Amino acid sequence: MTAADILSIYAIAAIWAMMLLNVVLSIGGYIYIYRTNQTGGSIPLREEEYPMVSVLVPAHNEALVLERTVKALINFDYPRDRFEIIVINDNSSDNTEEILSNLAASYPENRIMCISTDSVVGGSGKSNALNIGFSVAKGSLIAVYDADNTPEPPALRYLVENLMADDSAGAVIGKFRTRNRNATILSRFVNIETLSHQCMNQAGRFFFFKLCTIPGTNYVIRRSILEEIGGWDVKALSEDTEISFRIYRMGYYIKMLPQAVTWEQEPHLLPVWFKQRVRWAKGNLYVMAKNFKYIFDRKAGPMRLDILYYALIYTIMLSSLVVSDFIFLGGMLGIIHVKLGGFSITLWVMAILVFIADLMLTLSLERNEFTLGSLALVSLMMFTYAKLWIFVVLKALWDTIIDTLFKREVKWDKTVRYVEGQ
Amino acid sequence: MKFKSLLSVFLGLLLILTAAIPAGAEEEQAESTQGEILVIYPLEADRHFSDDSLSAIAQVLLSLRYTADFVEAEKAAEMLPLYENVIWCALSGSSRMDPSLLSRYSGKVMVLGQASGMEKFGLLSPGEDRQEMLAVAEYVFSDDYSFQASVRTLSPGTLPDADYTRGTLETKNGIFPLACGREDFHYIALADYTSDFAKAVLTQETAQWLWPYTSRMHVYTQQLVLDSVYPFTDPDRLSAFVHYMAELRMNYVISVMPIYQNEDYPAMQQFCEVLRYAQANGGSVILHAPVTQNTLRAEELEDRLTVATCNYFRHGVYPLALEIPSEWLFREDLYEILRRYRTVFLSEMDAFSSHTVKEYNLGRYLRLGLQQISPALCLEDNALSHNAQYSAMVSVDPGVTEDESIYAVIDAIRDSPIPMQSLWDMEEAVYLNDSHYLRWDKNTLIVDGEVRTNQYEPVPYDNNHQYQRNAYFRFVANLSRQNHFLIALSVLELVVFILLGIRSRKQMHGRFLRKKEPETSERN
Repeated sequence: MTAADILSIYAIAAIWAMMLLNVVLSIGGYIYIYRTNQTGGSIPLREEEYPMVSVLVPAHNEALVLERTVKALINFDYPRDRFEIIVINDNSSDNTEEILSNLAASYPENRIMCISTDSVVGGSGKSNALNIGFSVAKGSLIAVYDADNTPEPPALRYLVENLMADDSAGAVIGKFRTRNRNATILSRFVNIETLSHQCMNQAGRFFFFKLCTIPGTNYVIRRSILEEIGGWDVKALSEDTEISFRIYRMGYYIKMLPQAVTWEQEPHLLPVWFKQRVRWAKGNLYVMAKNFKYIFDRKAGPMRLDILYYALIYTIMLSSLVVSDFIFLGGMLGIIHVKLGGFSITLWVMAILVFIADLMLTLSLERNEFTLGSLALVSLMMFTYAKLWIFVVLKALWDTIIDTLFKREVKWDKTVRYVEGQ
Repeated sequence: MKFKSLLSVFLGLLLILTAAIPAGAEEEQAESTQGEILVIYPLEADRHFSDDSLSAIAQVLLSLRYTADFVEAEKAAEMLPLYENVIWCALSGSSRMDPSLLSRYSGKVMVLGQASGMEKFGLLSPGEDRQEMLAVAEYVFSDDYSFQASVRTLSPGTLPDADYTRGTLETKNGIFPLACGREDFHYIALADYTSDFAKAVLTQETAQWLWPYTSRMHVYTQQLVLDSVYPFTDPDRLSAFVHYMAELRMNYVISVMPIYQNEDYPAMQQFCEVLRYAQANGGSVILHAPVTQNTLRAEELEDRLTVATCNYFRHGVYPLALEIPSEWLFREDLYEILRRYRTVFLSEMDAFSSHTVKEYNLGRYLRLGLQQISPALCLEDNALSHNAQYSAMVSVDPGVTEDESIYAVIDAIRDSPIPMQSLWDMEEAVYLNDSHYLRWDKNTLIVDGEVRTNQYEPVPYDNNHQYQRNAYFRFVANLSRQNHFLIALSVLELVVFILLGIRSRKQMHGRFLRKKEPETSERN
């Protein structure tokens, strides 16, 4: 048996193991979404029971998308006197402040607050902006939306109702969809990935383990928790994942509610997408490194599974994909020869079919997504978009190593927005 | 009362009868498993060659088709009366066997090894030290062939009133007969039987010892076997050999390796074309057992042999016998396969060891009644047999033997006094299953119920063969070899996902038809 054979066995075993894990999560996610679809997601409260909610919107040079976002927030079917919108204009150099002032003037019946920061106080990332917003927030619950979001009217109500229904829930997260999914083929890939990974996978983990991770937008969290943990970690690029782990360590759980939907603008150009994903991956690596010690701590509860999951993704999955692609390319060039019997084209084809079926099952739960066009896209995705993930993680690893070695400060790279067609 | 008495008598008779039946059956069974020869060996087999010699003796007896039982000297007394023939192995210097044990025995006795202490048989040995020594032995195998070799001996002796002597043994103590005998007693002075020379001597002397008549012994034939010929090997090389043999009008055997797939390839057609020509011109084809047989169960092996044989049948090539390794002799689960053949070729004797021969009764195999052709005992480089006492197989493997050497063997075997015989001159049968079989009664060849001929008829090659090498065929071929568990799991997962997908589509359809929800993205 050659080294190539051993590596092949490792890659095949690891890829299949991760894929089967994903299949199991998909089935759990399907059952959970199917059930919540039947109830609709709402748990109505008496009028007086709806608490005050502060909706935080961190914005750094978001002039292109912010007006649309604020209008969507104003449109919430939540008691108008029970929520405030706090936009943190975080050291913007565009006309964000002007737009916000106009909006506040145009909708005096709504509580729209704009906090503008300079480079001294602000401009150092989303966590810092959220902490600034939180310092002036009056609500007993805090909702967070990114500046490019257009949530559906009932989204906030659903989230709040579900959080109020269970004292052991620390936060409730919703689902986010891709508003500009038809912009480019990349945004269509992102749309499918978002539905699959962010929604189905989260729902599966919640179904089996009552475990999910805050996605960074469209969620509601108890003020008391934020006060206890001291707000968001300003060093974390993935402040959402980081705060999720802290919530679990406090003994709360996070609920996933797919009926609370927000639509957001996703990167439609490869460089923008790559930059955003590298930031996410770096953030996840930071959180994983920071929390890895809890994997052996029983008190950490189900969060240990999440750490393990991330660890598997960034070690086993990454290495097996790198190895399999390396062997595949080597084989095509005639440099590497794998002599294994029994592991060849069929297993490879079956893996692709499982991948496609998994994604199509996710799309079957969505309106206008389960189409032949999507099937073609999903088939194409495995060989194109999915491969980019390897480069994203490798770049993130490299950056993390360099940052650590040279003690460079972690920078927040804002995702570049663009004007969508109306 | 009368009825009760009658019933008691009836039951009593029934009990006696039922008790008697198993007893008789056991006796019959005991008789059926007993060998024809009892081989007595010293308990203290303190030298490795003693054990190796036991294996060699077992091989020789198998080639001669004698069934034998092996027993330690200390346990021999009670078994002796059951046997008509006894071989006494006095191969070790510290042998503690009591010769008086055999002196009371009235059957045939053959002593191997030392003569010292064997005075009761009339053997006289000048050496009392029982020290092993090297000697030069010369043995006459036939009228015009004798062979000299350096051998190991242990206090050899003479039999003054011998009525039979053969060969000489020249030692530092003098010259002794290599083999001698008187009436039912026989003696061979060799103490080590691991060499082919010693095995050849033992073969000839054992046959002589047990030959019940005064006439010359029966002469068995030898087979020249072109061994382990793989399909898809160079047909020109095989063709040259076949034509050469046809010119010489010599009989020979081609042992072909099994083939399970791609039997319709043009290369296979060309290969079988040569085999068909060989069949019609002095050659016979036999099938070589699969080389991976040790890992296969009997059923799998049977299936493979059936597939491989049928693949040759399709090309008009008719394997008449099966070539097997010696491991098969010690695997009783394979006997059902062997029963389906009339003739088997034993390709080697690697599986023989003192352990296997002591523990295992090869009589079970010999009682299958197969025509057996055993490996030739080669005294010289030409691989020829010099024993006419059993059917021998002179084997040359073209995969490892140069053409010059092969043709040298052919030339040498032409001059051999031992005759050759074609398998087509014997009755042969191969039963694979109810629908696939071969019968040859020296006149008519019946294959799968149809009369066939072994005469050569050229068949045009398929020049436009579809090799089915595209991705689709590779996929289909791979499918049967894949990890079935993962495939089953994937198929199950696909079915579950499709069913769930149908269900969710129904839910979505009902949801959005009942209640129209504006889509935010479009609204915005």
